[in-house]
Amino acid sequence: MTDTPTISRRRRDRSTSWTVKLGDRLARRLIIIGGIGTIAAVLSVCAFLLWVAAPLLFSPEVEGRVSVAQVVSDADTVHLALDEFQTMAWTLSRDGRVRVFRLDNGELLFEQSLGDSTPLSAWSLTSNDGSIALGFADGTLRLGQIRFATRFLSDSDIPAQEAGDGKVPLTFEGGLAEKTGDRQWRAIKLAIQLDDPIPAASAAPIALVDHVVRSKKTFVASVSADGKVRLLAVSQRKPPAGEPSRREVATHDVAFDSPTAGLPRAVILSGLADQLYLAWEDGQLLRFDSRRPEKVRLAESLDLLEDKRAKITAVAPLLGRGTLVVGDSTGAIQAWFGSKPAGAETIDGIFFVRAHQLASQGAPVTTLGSSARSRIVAAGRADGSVELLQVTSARRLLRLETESSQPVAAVSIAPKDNGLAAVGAAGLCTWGLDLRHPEATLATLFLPIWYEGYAGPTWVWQSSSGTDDFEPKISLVPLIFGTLKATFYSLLFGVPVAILAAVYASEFMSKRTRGRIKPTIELMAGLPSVVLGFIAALVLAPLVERWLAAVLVSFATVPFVLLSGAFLWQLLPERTFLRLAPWRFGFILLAIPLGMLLGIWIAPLVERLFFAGDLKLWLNDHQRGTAVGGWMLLFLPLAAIVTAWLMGREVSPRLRKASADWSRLRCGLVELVRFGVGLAAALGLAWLGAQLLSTLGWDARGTYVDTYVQRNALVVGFVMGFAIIPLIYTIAEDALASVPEHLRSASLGAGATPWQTATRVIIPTAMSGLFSAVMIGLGRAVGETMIVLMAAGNTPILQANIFNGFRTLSANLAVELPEAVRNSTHFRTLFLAALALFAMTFVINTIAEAVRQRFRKRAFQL
Amino acid sequence: MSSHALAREPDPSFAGAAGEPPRKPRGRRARAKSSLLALGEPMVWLTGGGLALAILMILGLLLLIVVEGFSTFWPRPLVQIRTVGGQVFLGEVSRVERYQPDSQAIARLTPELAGVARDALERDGGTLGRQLLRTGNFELTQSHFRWIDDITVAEQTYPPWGLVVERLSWGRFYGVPIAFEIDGQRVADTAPASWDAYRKHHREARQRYAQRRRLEVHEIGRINARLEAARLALRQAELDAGRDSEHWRRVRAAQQEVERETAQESEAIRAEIDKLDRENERCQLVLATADGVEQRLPLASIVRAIPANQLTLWGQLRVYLSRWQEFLLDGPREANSEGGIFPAIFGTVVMTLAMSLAVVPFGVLAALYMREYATAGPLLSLVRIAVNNLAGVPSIVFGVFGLGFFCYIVGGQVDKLFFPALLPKPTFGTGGLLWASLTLALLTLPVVIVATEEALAAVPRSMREGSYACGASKWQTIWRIVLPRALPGILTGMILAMARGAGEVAPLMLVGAANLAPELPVDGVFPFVHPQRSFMHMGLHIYGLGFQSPNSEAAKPLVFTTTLLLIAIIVVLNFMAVWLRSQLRRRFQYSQF
Repeated sequence: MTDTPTISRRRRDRSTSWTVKLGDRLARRLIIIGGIGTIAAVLSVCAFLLWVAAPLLFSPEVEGRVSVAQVVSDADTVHLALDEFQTMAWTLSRDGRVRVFRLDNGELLFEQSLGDSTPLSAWSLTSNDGSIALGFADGTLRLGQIRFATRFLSDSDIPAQEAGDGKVPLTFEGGLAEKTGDRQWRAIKLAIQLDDPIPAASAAPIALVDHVVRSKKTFVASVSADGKVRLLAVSQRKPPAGEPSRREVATHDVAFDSPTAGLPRAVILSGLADQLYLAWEDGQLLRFDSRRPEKVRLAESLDLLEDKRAKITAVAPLLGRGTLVVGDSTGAIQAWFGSKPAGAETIDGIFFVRAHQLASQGAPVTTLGSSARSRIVAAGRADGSVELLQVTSARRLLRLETESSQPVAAVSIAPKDNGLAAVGAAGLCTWGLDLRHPEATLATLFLPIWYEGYAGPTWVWQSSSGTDDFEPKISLVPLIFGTLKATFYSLLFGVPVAILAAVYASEFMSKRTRGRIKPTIELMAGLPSVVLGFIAALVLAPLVERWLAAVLVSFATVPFVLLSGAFLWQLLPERTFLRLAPWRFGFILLAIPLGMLLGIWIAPLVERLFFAGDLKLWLNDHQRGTAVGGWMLLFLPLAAIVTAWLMGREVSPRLRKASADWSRLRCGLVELVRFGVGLAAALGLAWLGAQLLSTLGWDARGTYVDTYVQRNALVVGFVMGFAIIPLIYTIAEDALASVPEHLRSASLGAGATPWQTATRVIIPTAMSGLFSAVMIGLGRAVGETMIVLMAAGNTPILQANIFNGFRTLSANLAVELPEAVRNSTHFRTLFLAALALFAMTFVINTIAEAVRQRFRKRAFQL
Repeated sequence: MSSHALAREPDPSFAGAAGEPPRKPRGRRARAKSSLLALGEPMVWLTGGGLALAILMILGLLLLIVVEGFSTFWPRPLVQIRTVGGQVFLGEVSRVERYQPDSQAIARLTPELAGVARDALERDGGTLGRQLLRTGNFELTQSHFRWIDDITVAEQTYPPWGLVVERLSWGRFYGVPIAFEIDGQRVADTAPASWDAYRKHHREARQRYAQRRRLEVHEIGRINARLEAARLALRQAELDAGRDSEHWRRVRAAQQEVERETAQESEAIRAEIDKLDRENERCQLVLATADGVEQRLPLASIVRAIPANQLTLWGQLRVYLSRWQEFLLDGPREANSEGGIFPAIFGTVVMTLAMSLAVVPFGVLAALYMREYATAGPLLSLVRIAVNNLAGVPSIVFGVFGLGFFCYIVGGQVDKLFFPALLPKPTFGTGGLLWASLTLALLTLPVVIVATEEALAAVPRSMREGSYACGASKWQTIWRIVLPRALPGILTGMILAMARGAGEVAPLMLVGAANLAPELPVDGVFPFVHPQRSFMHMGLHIYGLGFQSPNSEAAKPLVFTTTLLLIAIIVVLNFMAVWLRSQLRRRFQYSQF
């Protein structure tokens, strides 16, 4: 407290009041916390994307216990299946006994024999729908179903004394019951249903059987002990109420010459029952075309094994039955499927190929079990180990050991891919699994992968389909390619226009006009891209389609008219030239529509000369016309640049020397002639190049130009170029304007013309600013969504063809993310795509920003 | 590197204009003459061409949108075309074009027509003219539009009593009024008389219809809301106390009480609606289509009927304005392809306002921190570059973030905590107004931060120092001196952010904008603001109309009008920002002392 009197003679308190202090402290706290929090929140976008996408590449995990039920020991087990909740398993043994076990204590819940009257001799069991086909020693066949059936019961259905607390599953009517809700129980038991036997075609026992259930018919392929192969088509009609169901069986013999003695090791029908495979132990495989069951023809005969000593020990079809997984005695496991390469010489145009080598060595493979929902196969080996393999990526997901080193008799993947069971002489082992995202690896995301049915390894993005046995194809490469394609074409159009415009505005225009133009163009930068996309797709695309030739020709005629305008302008007498100078831009404005008109006018001529009369037909039909026109189209800009460069380098200095004493008119005329010569030279050069390539037999069609699609890269490039022009223009103009005025004055004062000042002083100085402008335009083009979504057709294909559509990362996100199931592989892959997009633009923008900062600092120092 | 370029003297090989004296001395005349080459006129023209192209494209685009947008609602004459084959069509010409027919199409024509076609082709350089006639009457013809080749036109007339009927369903109807019926009795059987009768009764019918809609939407909606609340309370009680508990029984009794009450109430409302419906069914306008089919249209289903060929300029203007009014103030009909876009305008505005409410405080906080509190250093400039760069990150990435983080994670938690009774149906766990505004706020945050920082930096140091010298604390200085002077800059940032936010569509597709949202996010039902609802947005409306509409040809003009409106909003916002910026500059200049 100080006692200085004031004017008002009141004592004044000079200490800071506590409210001010408190306010200051609070504000400080709030701003620091809020500020850092906000910045962190914005920056956490990237971290979140990474957090979601990262589990894509996590490796599968074994969770839960390894339970060994010693009571269940049966080396004769031929089939094993788990229920959905992994509470029990049923097994089929060689003698036809079906047994159901509890998995927690190994208790035998249920037992039944399938071959009561006649011994069971062959079996075909599927893991997805539970349908079965059984073959018997008397030659008869039976179809049916064995599956876990679930019922929901209420409290009153369960005997009270047994109910307990409901936490431990309760043995109930040969199955298990578990309390699931308030008063609800879920009872699961094995439901076995067998149809009447199909009469034997011969008395020989059935040795092998396989079946496929189609919507109308069930197809059964059987091999009897006498070596006869038969294909049966069984149609089961739903009878009208009250009548017994009627079944029609058509039996067709399959005739062939056996390549090796003995019975086949396996018979397998494809998923559509259009192919039938017979495999022998020594590796011989016969593939039959069974599209018409009454006329099964041999399509292909090949050897599955490279190693002559090896023997096939297990064959299993994958989900969808298009791929065969073959395990042999050397421990190798291969996946084979039919591919359709161009020019295949088999009767159905299919070549059976070994697409994936899943394992190359190890203990002999004893059994294979495929997943009911994905392309994963489990392999049991003779040393008691079990492997889990992803077929498409040929990736070994897990290797697990059973308790013993006895051979594994049967393996099974749980219905939801979340568990695995193996049975052998030592008992039953089960594992709880979290496979995470087995189909996603760096290889499947970025490298060419050979998918089922494709001619060879390739990049494909196809994330969903209508069928259950569909395999998602998640290569990001087509999307990245689409992004780059869109970016490339839009920069090709946008960058020159924007930079040229900025140079003209800042160097050759009065400050007042410039001041008027700039807000107009900046306003354009704020135009919603959905508007541009709509214009591109609904207005521009039909126009370009209709006037395609004129549009392409205009790309040449507009610069041509501009240049001719300039050369004619030069012919004006000096006084008029100077007097008209302020209206020069008006004439330039006029030249653009003139160039377009010229384009429209000569387009039919060009089409007649080079494209056999119609450009679009020429593009569609590769036999039409010659290849010269297409190459001309591509070479003309190149030739023009080369000619201009040569002219500038070789002719201009000489001309400059010679023209020192010429009159202005003479100079202008010579220039005009030079332009004419240059034009002719450019055209000639392009034509020569085109002629050369087309004589060599190369055609641009099929690569850079091809079939015309209405929504294509040309339209997108044009409109997206238009979208980035304002952005690039504004930044470039700022950069050019921020070159210090004294540099400009010095150059002009030393006698340089404005053009010389611009090219030799201003542009080099502002170069880094211009570069950052282009980079920022690039960043915008990479991430632009609505324009490409609306105007690019959204087909994820890998084609350089400018007249074709594509799909970008951003459009893909907009199309697919709303439908993606949360935390699925698809969902996470899309987040990875978003992350890629984020990273691309962030890097590009950072470079631009860093360059711009440096430029600013330097421009300031100058 | 351009530093070399900078250091470089003008190219020595270039002698023309720079003309260094020590080299070959030349006469003055000679040097002056050679300047034509040095002017680089062709190159200047090329650069000028770039600018001209950019300007022409921008003006062309704006012109296209303005012309198409403004002309959409102007009533067009109704054409009746009789073809050579004897068919008669009545409709509005929506497009005229020339096309190249393929040879098979001509081969399919009758011989004499093919001859005419070949002659026309010969005459017009291989193209034929045709017009797209909007023929409407979808329930009779199963199509809205029809191409008519010029060569097939036998007679083209403008029937004086041709009527364009815009109605609630099935799109437009074109026909001639032949009678007017009340209770099945013909009270008028000529065109003028029917038209007069229509004019007499239409307004009342529409009023009845509006009342019916009001009852249906508001009253029934209120009852449904009450029922739903009671049902939810019951479910909540079941979750809290279990089924069959004392509490549950009580709640169930209350719910049953509500059900009884509402049943009576809705019975009464239903009766009233039925009465209005019956009343409205009484009056029907009978129209004859061009090919003579009679069709009865209930008066209430007619939004607007226009005798298009009799309109005076004033009448046309009235139709034009009335269509604009409907467009701006009414909801959409017919899968958005007819009617108005009021919900979309409303949704855009509400979303943008909510976004600016979120973005401004946080943006200003972050800018204040970076400019006033944080210590300058490499870390800060790194953060600044990162924030700047985020402005360039594609908007769809923010949409992905919004969907994954806001909708699924935050929204999922909110649902679990506050709306367990509604599960598994998500309340906040899916896209909605709140998440959309927050996502856009995140997207526009860099814009606000950068603008605010610039505004803060523009406040002269001397003013701060003066404030400190007077004994003000830091916060007092910021609050009383810095922020008021930075306010125009902050507002500029906010408006720019709003302009950007209003035009963004891509992220909204993921976080809550819908093609058709039946309920507005703000309405008269408690709690009045419903941040969990999805909403309509003008940008998405453009996308949906142009690309997902079943009748996209009819929707196209509407797209232009919507575009015009959206651009107008954004242009106005941008101009406000420009104006504020100039204000800021002026103020900044004044404050120099």
